[in-house]
Amino acid sequence: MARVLINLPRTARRGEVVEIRTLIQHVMETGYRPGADGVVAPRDIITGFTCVYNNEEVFAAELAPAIAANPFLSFSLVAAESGILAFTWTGDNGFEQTETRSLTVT
Amino acid sequence: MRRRALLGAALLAAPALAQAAPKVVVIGGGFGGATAARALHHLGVSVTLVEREATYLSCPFSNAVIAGLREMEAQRFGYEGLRREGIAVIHREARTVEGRQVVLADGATLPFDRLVMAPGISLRPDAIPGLDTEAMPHAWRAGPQTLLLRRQLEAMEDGGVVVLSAPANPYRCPPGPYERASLIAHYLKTQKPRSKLILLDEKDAFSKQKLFEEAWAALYPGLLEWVPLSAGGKVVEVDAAEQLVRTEFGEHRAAVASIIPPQAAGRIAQAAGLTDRSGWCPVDPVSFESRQRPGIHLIGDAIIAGAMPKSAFAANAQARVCAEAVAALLRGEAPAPPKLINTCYSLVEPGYGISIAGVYQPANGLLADVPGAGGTSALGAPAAVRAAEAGYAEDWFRTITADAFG
Amino acid sequence: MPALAGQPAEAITGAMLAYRAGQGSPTVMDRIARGFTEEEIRAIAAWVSASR
Repeated sequence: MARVLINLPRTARRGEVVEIRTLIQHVMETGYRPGADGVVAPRDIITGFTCVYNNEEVFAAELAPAIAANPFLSFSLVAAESGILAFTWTGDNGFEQTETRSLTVT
Repeated sequence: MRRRALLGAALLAAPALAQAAPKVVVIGGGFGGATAARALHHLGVSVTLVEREATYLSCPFSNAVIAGLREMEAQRFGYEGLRREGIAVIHREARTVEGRQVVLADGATLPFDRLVMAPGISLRPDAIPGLDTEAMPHAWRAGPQTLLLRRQLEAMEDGGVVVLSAPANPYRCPPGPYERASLIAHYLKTQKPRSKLILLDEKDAFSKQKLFEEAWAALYPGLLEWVPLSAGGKVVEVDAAEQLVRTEFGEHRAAVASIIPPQAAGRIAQAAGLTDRSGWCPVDPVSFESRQRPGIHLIGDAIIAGAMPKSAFAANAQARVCAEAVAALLRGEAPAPPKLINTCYSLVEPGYGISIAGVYQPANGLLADVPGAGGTSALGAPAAVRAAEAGYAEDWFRTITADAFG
Repeated sequence: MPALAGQPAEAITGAMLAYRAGQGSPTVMDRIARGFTEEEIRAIAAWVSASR
């Protein structure tokens, strides 16, 4: 399990634009970098990210080898109704991790 | 084309040499500027130093002042030594540089054949919304801010949380925030042991990191917490009234906070058009001449120096090299490619010193590490080595201040 | 620490070369000496020796 940081408000007014920040601790090994022994380290990156809000995908991103370690993503959405936000990171070697947060809309 | 350029240069240089002894003006009387003025004077060049303040307060060792281990007066240096040697020192603010003249704040002008600028840094508190530097002192220039932070720590009740921040690279004194965290942690451990210190960092790696972490684990476990960028260490906003420091992922309520804002080259370097889009000054690594305005040389924290850090030692080394280059250029000779040294000591508690050193030479238009040289003190070294390095730090301070200020 | 200025150039050169070779128990001079050639070290020693 990678360490994940997520920042979003616990509550929002209906129709309010909410900013969300996420960060996952990951090496983002490019697959091009030789190690001290001269052997190129195999690629190991996060390749995809989605945010699902009450079963609807509201944000997605594709990540590439040029993206720095510990990828930070910031995006916004409109608070429509109370519910669950599910954040999923997928990557090389079958990596997949999902975190959820609740948002109360008043 | 090439011949015409050379002819042009010769025509420009000739009258100055023919009419009178060439004049060099140095702006800035810190470690870089004061050293440069003295070195030029010793090379027989007529020098005028322009420095706004009557005395200089040293940033090196000012973290010890914050932690109550040293008094401010030990940081103060005057310019009597330079005057005694015959260097003209003018205590006025330099506003800008127009053509081959320095324009002072009162409108007076100082003509020069070559200009050396050591303008240091400017701080950009506006980059952090809500930041009030009186409420959350940066203390990143020795002076009233240093004493303000010290008084805030002294007034804090035992059990408070001290929040410090370290900016992203580049900034003045790369190990400085970590020395500050160490010495404040020492103060808390000895005076207010129920308190805690959180160091919020906009980076995931820093200078002498393994040595600092080794010391923190031994000396300040449970007291000092370092929060790197990847754990949410970047400060994005503060609330001065509520003493809240907000990061990308949370907030910390501070009894005392010291927020070090992002930085750029000193204001006059910007006014004189010597900075690039980064906010710092690109220079030739052999002559330290500006890449943007010929005839103006820059040294110290304000420049883009490649691998060389922004430190007093680096400024002092660059000043000596720059003085030789300026003297050579005034004689119509090409400056010799230099090698420069930097050594930087940090204290993690009284009697416990660690160091990093480097040797640099011009490569690909910047200053690059000489391969195989430099590095940090050994990990796991015995206490006697740490004590020796703490002593050498004091020796270094006496040596460099004597070299800069006489 | 004794002052370096005015010490014989040969002694300074010898010490620097020893530090560069990892001898003695330096804290920082080994790291610095490794950045210089023998010729450069001799030039530094001559300069330091000649300074007051």
